[in-house]
Amino acid sequence: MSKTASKLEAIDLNAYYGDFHALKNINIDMEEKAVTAFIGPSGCGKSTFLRTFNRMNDYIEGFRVEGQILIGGQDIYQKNVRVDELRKEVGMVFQKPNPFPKSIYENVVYGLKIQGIKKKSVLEEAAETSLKRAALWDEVKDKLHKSALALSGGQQQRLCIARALAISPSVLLMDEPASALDPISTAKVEELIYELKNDYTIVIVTHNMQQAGRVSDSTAFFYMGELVEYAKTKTMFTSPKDNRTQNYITGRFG
Amino acid sequence: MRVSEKIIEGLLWLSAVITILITAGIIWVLLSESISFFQVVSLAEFLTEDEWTPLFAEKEFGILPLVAGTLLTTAIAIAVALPLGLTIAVYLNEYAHARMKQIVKPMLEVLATIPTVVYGFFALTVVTPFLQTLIPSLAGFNALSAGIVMGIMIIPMISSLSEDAISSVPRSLREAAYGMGSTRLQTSFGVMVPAASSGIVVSVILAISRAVGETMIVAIAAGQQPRLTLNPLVPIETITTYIVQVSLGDVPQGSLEYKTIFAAGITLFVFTFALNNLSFWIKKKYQEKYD
Repeated sequence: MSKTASKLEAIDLNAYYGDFHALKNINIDMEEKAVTAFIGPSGCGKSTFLRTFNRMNDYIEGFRVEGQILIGGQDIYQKNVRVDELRKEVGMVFQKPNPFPKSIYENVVYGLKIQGIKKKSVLEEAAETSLKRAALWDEVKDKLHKSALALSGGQQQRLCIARALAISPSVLLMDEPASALDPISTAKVEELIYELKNDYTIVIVTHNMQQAGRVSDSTAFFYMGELVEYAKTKTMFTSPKDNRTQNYITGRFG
Repeated sequence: MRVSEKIIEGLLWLSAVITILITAGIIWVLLSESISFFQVVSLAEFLTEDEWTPLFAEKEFGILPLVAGTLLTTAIAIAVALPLGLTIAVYLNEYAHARMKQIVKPMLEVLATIPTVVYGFFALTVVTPFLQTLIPSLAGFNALSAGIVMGIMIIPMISSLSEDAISSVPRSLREAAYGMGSTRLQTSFGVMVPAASSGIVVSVILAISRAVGETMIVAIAAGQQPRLTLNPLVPIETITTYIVQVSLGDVPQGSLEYKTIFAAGITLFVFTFALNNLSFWIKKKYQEKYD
């Protein structure tokens, strides 16, 4: 997979948890180096869909997909795709900050270390660059070898972003990255997303309409496992085509 | 409060107190008998003398050979049980399907329910002859095969407690590791095992404590020759074996020889008591707080 081929597509995608039909016939073609927001009420399938792009659902017993997920034109559900290799291209930031119970430095360089990179100068440089990109460097540069668990929730989340950036993925999946954070930390994370989109294809799942409006270029609205509407964020928020979208973004349900 | 409530409360209190009294009683017997032993044999002699021959004409009272025998068999047991137990724990947690886990875990626990006397004869009549085909110089009674079999016995202790510790690590950490492109192996040994390390250490300490106190296997298969050595190929004697040997023998009650078993017993008690407390302390101090 080359670095520039970070276009995300789904073709006739269906996903099931056992008998439950979680994603229904999804077709989407997302912009490269832009932010796409997935919105929709709880249980609509947006997180499930997000997790098909790095095959994070593989570990759930009874989960299966039909159809295709293409990243840079390659179907990632093909048998010959190695999920560990895939995830080096497709980084992920989770809903709740989940740093490893290790030092800040060890967290950032983890992804490089498991790839067998041992050279200290390389690791240190990568740690600094990633922490700077995640706007955390100034806050932690004097305590890199302290436990990551001692950081605040907002700092932990930016550390998780730095950790994901350190292995230089081309795609960044964010599953409600700010939902467990206070407003100030949320603002910082949003600012960060805005900056990162110059270099990464970002997909963000969010419950927060304002957030989707602030950070995303395009928005996809999911409802009951269906992709109801997909459009430029501005268009969708000003003139939604579907009634269900209209009702959701105006807060009539959700 | 109603009378029946009071009676029940009293019974509950009594059963709690009885166990404490029994423990206190055991400690008291050990102490009182060994105090009269230490009035004859100095503590310094007991701890530094390198021979243990209380039943011979020329008596020496150095506990070191018995301690060495105990530590040797225990070390062999842990060397067998830790890698196997931990691998099993990781397998069950990370690789095995739910149904596989449901079958394997109870089967493993069967290992812990086999009477130790059976293990002892297994060591003596199966493991030792087998090892002798590989190591011709191996004595009929030896620390090696007793230690190995003892290790097999404590595998479920380590695998079961470690598996509990690993599965209590939050799922979000596993996802973080997978999300970074870790393989299953990197996830389990690089993230899950370290995050569960306090629980794993506790399981190992409890297993050590169990091995130190184990009696039948070593009494049957390791020999009864107190010897200050770390050579696993020759007969040795552990603290527990010595106690059995003297208790079953015709040593007159009240004699100095008789009192040696209490001195040996209190040494054993100090070991296991310290280990259990250590595990308790580690559990309390290092248990990762997750929500």
